[in-house]
Amino acid sequence: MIVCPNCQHQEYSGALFCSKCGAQFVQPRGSGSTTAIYTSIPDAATKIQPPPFPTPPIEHKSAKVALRILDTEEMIYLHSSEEFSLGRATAGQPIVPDIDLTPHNAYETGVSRLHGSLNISHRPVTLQDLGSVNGTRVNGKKLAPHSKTSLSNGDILTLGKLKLQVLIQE
Amino acid sequence: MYQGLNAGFQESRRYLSSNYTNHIILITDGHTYGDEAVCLELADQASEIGITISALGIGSEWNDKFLDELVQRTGGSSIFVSGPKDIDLLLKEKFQGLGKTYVERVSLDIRMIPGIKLKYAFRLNPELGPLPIAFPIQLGGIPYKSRQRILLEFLVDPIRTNISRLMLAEGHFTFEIPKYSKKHYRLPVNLMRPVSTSYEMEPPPHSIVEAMSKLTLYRMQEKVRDDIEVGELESAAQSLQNIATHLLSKGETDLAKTALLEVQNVKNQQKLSQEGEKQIKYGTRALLLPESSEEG
Repeated sequence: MIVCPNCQHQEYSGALFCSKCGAQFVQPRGSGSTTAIYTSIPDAATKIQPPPFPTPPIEHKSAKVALRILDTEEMIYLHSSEEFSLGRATAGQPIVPDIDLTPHNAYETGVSRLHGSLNISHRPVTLQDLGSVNGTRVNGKKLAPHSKTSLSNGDILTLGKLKLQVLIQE
Repeated sequence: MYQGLNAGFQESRRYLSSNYTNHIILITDGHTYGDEAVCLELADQASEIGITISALGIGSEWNDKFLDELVQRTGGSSIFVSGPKDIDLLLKEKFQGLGKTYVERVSLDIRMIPGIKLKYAFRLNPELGPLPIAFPIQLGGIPYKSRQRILLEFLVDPIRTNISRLMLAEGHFTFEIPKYSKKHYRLPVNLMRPVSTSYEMEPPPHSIVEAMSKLTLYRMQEKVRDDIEVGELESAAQSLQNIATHLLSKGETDLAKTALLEVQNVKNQQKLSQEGEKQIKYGTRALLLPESSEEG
């Protein structure tokens, strides 16, 4: 059994949270901190230590920038262009985004058809919100629509509620 | 409620086709007039022929536990609507979701290995809500390019130390894809976990911890209701206070305020208000839902 350090309630071994007071017993993979960081922004993302830049598959071998979908650990490699629009493609849409996030639950998580734009031509890499309905956040901080923000390796981008981590090969 | 539900059932049955999504949306104020048992029987009949039922409960006087059971039997889900003005929006969302349904009549039938017990089951996607822990579990449909996500919590008896993997359960999913000429599919399921004698366990993925964090709040409110039923008022009030604290830390200030008001109701009136009870239940449940997306 586990004894909750907060309220002394007993839980079965393997429990992740105390069912009595809600205290968390384990830290998720990828979070080095033992203290949760909260800001005044409701869904602010705690910064997650970025993994080393992965070796891209052969068809993306020139990629120096990648997006990691946090929920599924899937990777999207960015190369062969300087600017990438992010969004979700729908039938009859006049402008289709370069990176279609539909397979990553874009609709369900509130990603707009044209949500944001990433420029990887120079360093720092920059991100711009394209006036999306549900907004864009970088490490929990909401971006003003149409203004550019610099990104660092490991930054957490939240499009609507879809969380991605930007990985930049230094 | 039976009369309305039965009218919907008869209509759906008349046009029943395995090429379509067969679904009843029950909009109810929850007054059942003693016909709860026949409503549940009707839900079983609907489930047998492939009709799912979901429910919009309006106001605060309805029996949410009953409505949950009714829809669970068919693989549907229930939603709390505080006033008529939200019905339009919720119906629109519901129709959009149903229009995208690709896989139908998903059912999970697994058998636990001796020494393993299923303690809790909860569906995260595409519908949200607790699941019965008796198999087969009806899971309804899955929209195109979406996924079905369920959390199963098992209680495991002490195990031998000389094994590296433990089988928890085995069985299968069955489902239908109306689009294809071969409609019925069956997918084997073997749930296994690695076993280690060392205490250092690998931390679970972030997404699991995040989902469990929110699910813990939902289960805490279930416990509050159970505590109140058996007269454990002090425990219920303390748990509500804890729920409020966690909600505040998640930025859910309105829901936290509701929980704090209900602490006072428990202390002064030995019960939750009907409105507050449902707001906390469906509010903590909705924390697990991706934000309803507006077209953008």
